[in-house]
Amino acid sequence: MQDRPSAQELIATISSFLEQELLPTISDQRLRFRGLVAANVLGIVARELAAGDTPLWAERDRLLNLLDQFEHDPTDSDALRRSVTALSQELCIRIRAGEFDDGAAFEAALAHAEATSIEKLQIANPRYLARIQTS
Amino acid sequence: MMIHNSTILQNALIAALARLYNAEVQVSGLQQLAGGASKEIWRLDVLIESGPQAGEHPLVLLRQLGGKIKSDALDLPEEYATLTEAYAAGVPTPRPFLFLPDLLGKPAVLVERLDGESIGRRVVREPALAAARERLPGELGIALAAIHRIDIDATGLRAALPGPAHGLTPIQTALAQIEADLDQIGEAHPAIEICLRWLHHNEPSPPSRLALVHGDFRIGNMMVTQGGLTGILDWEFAHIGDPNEDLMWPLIRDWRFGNDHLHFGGIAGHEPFFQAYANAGGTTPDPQTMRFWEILCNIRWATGCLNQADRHLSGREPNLEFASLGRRAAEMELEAIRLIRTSK
Repeated sequence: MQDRPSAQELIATISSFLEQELLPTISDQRLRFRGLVAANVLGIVARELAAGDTPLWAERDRLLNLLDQFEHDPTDSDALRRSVTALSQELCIRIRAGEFDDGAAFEAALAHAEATSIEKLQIANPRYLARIQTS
Repeated sequence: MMIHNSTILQNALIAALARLYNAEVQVSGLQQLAGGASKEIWRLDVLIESGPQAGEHPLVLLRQLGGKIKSDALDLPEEYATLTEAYAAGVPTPRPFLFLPDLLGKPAVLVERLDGESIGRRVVREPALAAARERLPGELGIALAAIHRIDIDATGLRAALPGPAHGLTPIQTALAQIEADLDQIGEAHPAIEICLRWLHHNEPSPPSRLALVHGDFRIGNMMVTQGGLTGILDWEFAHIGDPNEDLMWPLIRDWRFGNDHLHFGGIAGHEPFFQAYANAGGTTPDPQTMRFWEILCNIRWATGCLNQADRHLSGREPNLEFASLGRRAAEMELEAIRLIRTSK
């Protein structure tokens, strides 16, 4: 077990250093913009760490359902990631082959895609998600 | 390689220009505006002491380096040729000044430096540009109609620029390009794939004629002053295609810079832009065709984000901004899905 600050606390510390101490001193517009991008990316990392594997389990459940498959649950995070990647790749191949073109199959694939995009945006850009969902 | 030392560039430019114009030449105020692995951009002032080009010239230098941004981006000579034809046709765009086939080992061009602001977020928000924002939809509709009126045969652009693949419509060509890009990146994106299927099945009828398409026509790629539009920039994605692409690209949500309710670039509804385009002789799409292109443009930009991230991830061009775009594709995916859901 590592000592504190925890990974999350370290990220929060770097974020406030970037935003409150470093960025206000930068007058070069291009450098300042990249500094803002860096602070934003750090926010993504913090949210991803906080969410853990929960969204991946949900995505995997949907994929197994959609592909009508069964497999034993992965036993660690890496195996979970490999499972989601492989299932997603199979889904892509079958979508492009036309297996999800019609009616209910199309709606089911679109619903999965929508849920997955929302899960990504909850980490990557929750403000955008809030905006698009109220528009 | 990239030029980090502006003195080397300054001396090379002075030598090249003095030889070309057979005159004393001064180059001053060199300042790098942007740089990447594919292109570097500098601002500079050139003073030519005598001859037909005598005088002070505020210019921008673009110098091609290595890799292209996208597989379908133009090389600098083709980009310059397109800009030259657009300028000759009266499109507001920087006046082409000079093409240098070899400046320190790489092709470079000099173009007029326009006054104004190009950064999208500032064009949309800056209080001092409020009057310009009133004028822009009309000015951009007229400018776009002028671009689409250019005779692609008489100018030679049809032969010089990328166009629809043999036997395919511009839309089918775009979809094939997106699929090829996805395969090259090699990641699974079910959202893009399912939207592509919808696009394959809902293609509107092809355009009555092919036109010069700017390819990145939006707020952020044009220079704006308090008086309005001073020039259309960034011709590197120009191609021969369907004019509807340029009409719908500036309307997608990401180019509204947070002003979501104003579909034309976050500054107006689409109507004054379309009206000006139609008054200038252009043909505007019906609502169904508009919706189709809005979905296609979002899917194209989602894939564009993945392409940019891949430039970083592949190690070709390590760059924080490219990396960050990888996490933005989902924004365009969700937008496209929502547009499909509310279609028909």
